[in-house]
Amino acid sequence: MNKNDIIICRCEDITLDEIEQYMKMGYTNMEELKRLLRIGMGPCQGNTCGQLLQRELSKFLNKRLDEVKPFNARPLVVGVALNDINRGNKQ
Amino acid sequence: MNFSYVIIGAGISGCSIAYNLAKKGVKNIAVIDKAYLTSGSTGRCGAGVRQQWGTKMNCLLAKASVEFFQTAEETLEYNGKIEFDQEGYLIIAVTPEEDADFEKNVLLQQSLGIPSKKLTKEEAKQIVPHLNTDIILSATFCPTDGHLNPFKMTDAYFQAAKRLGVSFFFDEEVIDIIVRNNKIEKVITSKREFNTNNVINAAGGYSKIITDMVGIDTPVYPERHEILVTEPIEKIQGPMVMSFSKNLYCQQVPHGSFVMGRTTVGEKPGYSTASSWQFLDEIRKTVCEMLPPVDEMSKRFVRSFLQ
Repeated sequence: MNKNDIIICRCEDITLDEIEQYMKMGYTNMEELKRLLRIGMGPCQGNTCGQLLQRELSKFLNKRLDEVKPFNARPLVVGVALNDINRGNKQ
Repeated sequence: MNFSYVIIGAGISGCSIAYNLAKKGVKNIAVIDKAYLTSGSTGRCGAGVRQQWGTKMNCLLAKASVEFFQTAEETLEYNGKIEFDQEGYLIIAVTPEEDADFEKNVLLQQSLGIPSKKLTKEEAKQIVPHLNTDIILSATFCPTDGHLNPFKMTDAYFQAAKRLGVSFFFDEEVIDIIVRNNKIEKVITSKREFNTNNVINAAGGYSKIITDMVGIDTPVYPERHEILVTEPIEKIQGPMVMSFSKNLYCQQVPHGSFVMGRTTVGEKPGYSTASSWQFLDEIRKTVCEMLPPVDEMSKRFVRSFLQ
C-alpha cells in the first residue's frame, strides 16, 4: 500500500509518508515530530496515533518500544467546553 | 572536541544566535540542549508577535523582528511555512490608568515608525465583532503584529544553521562549566566535554542554573504560565486580543484553533510544568465575559499546557 495513503494521525491527517520523510531528516523524537507535523495535536491528543508513531520510531531507530519516549500527556482526557465549566459553577 | 562557541539551549534564541554567528563566518559552533528542539519555553509560547510595547528598546527590537519575519522564509531558505500571519494585536484598555498609559505608548510607538493607533471601543468592535465592549474603555491596534509558528521559525533557523556547519547536540544536559583564571575552559555535559573559551547562555528560564555554574548570579527566575488550545473552527477572529488588567490573551491561529492564556496571580518562581485545574476555572470566566462567542463556537478545548 502506498505510504501516502496510510493515515497515522486521523485528527490532523498525517500520513506515514510524511512521518518517514521527517524521520529521515533526523527528527526522531515524538515531541519534535508533533511540533513540526502537528501529529497528535488534534482533538484526540495522540490517543490513536501516539502508539502508531512510537512503533514507527522504534522500527526506524531499531530501538525497543519502551526506549521511545511517548508524547507528554496533559489534561484534559477529552475536550470540554469552557462554557460547560461556567454552567457547572452556576448550578 | 574543540569549539569556538558553545551555545546552551536550542530554542528560538539559541538557534538564531547560532545561525547569525555562522552567517558572520564563525566556524566550529556547537548548540547543546538537554532535550530536543524547542523543548523549553519557545515550544510552549502563545505564538504571538507584537510591536506594541512601552519602552523604546522593546519597540525597536520587536519592529526589527517583524521586518525579519516578513522575509524569513526566503532569507533562511526554508522549505516549510513559518506561518507569519499579520492580522494585528488588539490591546484592550479596561481601566482609566490603562487608557492613559496606552495613549503614551502609542505616541512612542508611532515616533519609532510602528503603525499602531488608539481606537474607540466602537472601532475596536469593527475589528473584532464578538468583543464585549461593555467592559472596555478603549483599545490600541497595530495591524502588522500577529502570529508566528514558534516550532517552524526555530526549525528554519535550525536547518539554516546546520547548513552553515553548526553542530547540534540534543538530549545532552550541561552539568558543569570549568573556569580557570577567569576564562572558560570547557563545558561538561552528561555525555562528553566541549573545549571552548566562549559560552552563550540561551537557556531561557533555566539561565540561572547555567550562570550559577560559573559563580555569576543572574536574576532570571522562571514562572509557570498556563495556556490552552481549542479544537479548530471556521475563522472568526483575525487579531490577537489581549488585556493586561483582565489577564487574558486570545488568538485564533491560522490552523483554526484558539490559543489563549493568562498569568497565574501569586505564582511563585519555580521549574514546575504541571497543569492546574484552577487555571481553567479562572480563564473561562474572562473568556466568557470578554469574548463570549469564542467560547460558544470553539466548543471544546483539548489541552492545557505550560509556558
